[in-house]
Amino acid sequence: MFGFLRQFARLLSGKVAPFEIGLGAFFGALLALTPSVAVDPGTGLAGFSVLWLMLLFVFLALRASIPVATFLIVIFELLERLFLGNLTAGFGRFLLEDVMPQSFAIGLSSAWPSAQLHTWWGFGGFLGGILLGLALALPFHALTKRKLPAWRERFGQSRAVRWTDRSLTQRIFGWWLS
Amino acid sequence: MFKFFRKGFLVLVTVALLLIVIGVAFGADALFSRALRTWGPSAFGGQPIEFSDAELAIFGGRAGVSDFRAGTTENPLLELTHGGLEVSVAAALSGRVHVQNAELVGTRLHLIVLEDGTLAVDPGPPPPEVQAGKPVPPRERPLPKAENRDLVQIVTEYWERYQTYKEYYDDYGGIFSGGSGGSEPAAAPARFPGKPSFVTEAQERRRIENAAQGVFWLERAAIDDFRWETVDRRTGKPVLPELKGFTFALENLGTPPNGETMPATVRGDGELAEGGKIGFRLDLARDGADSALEFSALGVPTDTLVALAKNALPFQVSGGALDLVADGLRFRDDALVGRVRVELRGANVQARRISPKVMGVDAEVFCQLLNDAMASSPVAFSIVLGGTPTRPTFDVENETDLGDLLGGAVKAEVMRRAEALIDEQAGKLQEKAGELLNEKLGGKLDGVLGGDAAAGLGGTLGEKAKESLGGLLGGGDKKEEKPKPPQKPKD
Repeated sequence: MFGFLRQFARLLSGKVAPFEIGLGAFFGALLALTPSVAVDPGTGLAGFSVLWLMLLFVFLALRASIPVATFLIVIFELLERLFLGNLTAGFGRFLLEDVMPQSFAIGLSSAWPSAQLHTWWGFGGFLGGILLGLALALPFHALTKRKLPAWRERFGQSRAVRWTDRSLTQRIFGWWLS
Repeated sequence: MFKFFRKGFLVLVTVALLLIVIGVAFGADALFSRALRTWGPSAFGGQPIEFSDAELAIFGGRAGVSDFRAGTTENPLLELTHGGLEVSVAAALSGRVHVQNAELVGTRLHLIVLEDGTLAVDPGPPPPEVQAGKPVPPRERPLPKAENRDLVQIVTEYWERYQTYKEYYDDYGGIFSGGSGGSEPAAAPARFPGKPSFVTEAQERRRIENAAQGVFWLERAAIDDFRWETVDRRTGKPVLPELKGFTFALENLGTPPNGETMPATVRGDGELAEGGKIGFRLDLARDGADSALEFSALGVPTDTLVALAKNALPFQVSGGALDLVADGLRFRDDALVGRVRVELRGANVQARRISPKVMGVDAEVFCQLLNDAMASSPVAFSIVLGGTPTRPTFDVENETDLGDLLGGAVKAEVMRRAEALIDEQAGKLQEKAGELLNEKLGGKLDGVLGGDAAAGLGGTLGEKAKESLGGLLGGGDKKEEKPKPPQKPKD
């Protein structure tokens, strides 16, 4: 939550672009809904899904908002345990078994088994994450882009924003993750 | 464009990768040493390992270790002067293990039987709860107490135990498991597992295809100057015949690249410290032709071999030497042909309490006759193999007919006894002839021929007396007392 506030403070102080918030929202949903573990035992990399590891790398390589993504990962992780996981796994099962040709899933399992896209949860979670991520990122981006000038004018010079911006994480990681 | 990227992170990753590459290039030896010390013991059933130097060239595909020892100083298991391995980096990048050359120099294997009749490397039986769930099937002939077993019986017990508790030992990671160090705990299943059944079937088909394709190819591996040092602490004697020097070579093992069909070869030769040479060559065909085995053990002291299975042999054998030659042994899945020639020379066979009658002759008599026979000529026979490798048949062809051998030995014994009897009877006849002459002729001859006439005539007539006087004096009746040669037993 503190990180999110810090991000919000940096947004208001003019150091964060609106697209970073949108990217953060997109990757937050995608990383949360795509299974990080190897759903098909023995096909992952040290027990992890290689697709999830790659998404994490791309997320860190792009200037996506880490606090926003972290916040959404926590939220969606909770939702997934409640009902979203069943939904995405069922969605994947429906797509792989009833919609797509068999050769599609077989091809995925032979070409890139470590991505877990040949499993119900792996495929449904990845596709669901993209859809939900886009559904969140676009409004987030639009909202921040439209509202940002007014927010900066109103809160940008406040002491709280300036204090939050000089947070401990900012001092430790410097420009590595900014 | 670059404003979308977190430049600091990319620099961080690039620097980290560079450091890893440099570290691997220059610090590989240290990393390899550390990895060997960490994971090496599990490959030797938990035995500690020590070495003076380890080297690894990742980009060159070479690894080596010097002055290596597995086990404690007091109870070493394996010692190496040097071990080296060369693999193809290109093959490794494509997911295949292609060993171009592997070499172990100055290999010493230590095998110690402890006072309780178990090997020092034995992980011991499974816990009682495991044994209670699946006891070892009872044997037709129970083995003796552990402390009284010979090596063959020790290994037999281990093998039966391993077959029964294979899963336990595989999990345990002991000496039986091939040194896996215990399997990784099974990962917890994912929260929402599942995949289409047709994917599972496709994966299984692919797994079978990959297994047939193989990922391992060994061009050459050699163990030079291999020796083992074995000791049975119950007796203080070696368990296995000491090797003077032995060389093993493995060639073309695994799945050859490019569909080549050269045979896989395992060969070795060397000498025993107590005398005798051993050599073998096994060619395993890949093109459907017969595989071949050549084996020879020449002049091997019988004592060294008998000690391995002294409890299982019905006779106590000592001394002498043994030749064992299998030449031109050929086999494939559904056929086995060839013969093994065994020749025993100068051995001494003694009956044991459990020794059976042989050809109707008591064990003691048989042993005496056999020993007499072997003193003059070796005993040789061929074992003709047939059937299949999994269900072989054996047909023994005696080059030395045991019946003839024993018959000859009996005949010789009879002749010896008969000669002794005749000599004895001849002596008596001489004596009787002397007495008779003395009695009938009295002092008449003494007067004519002198006082020594009786003795002189006796001596002169001695040989003839056996034939002519023998019948006159009732020697013919003695014929019935001559021993009859034993009848040759019927088959």
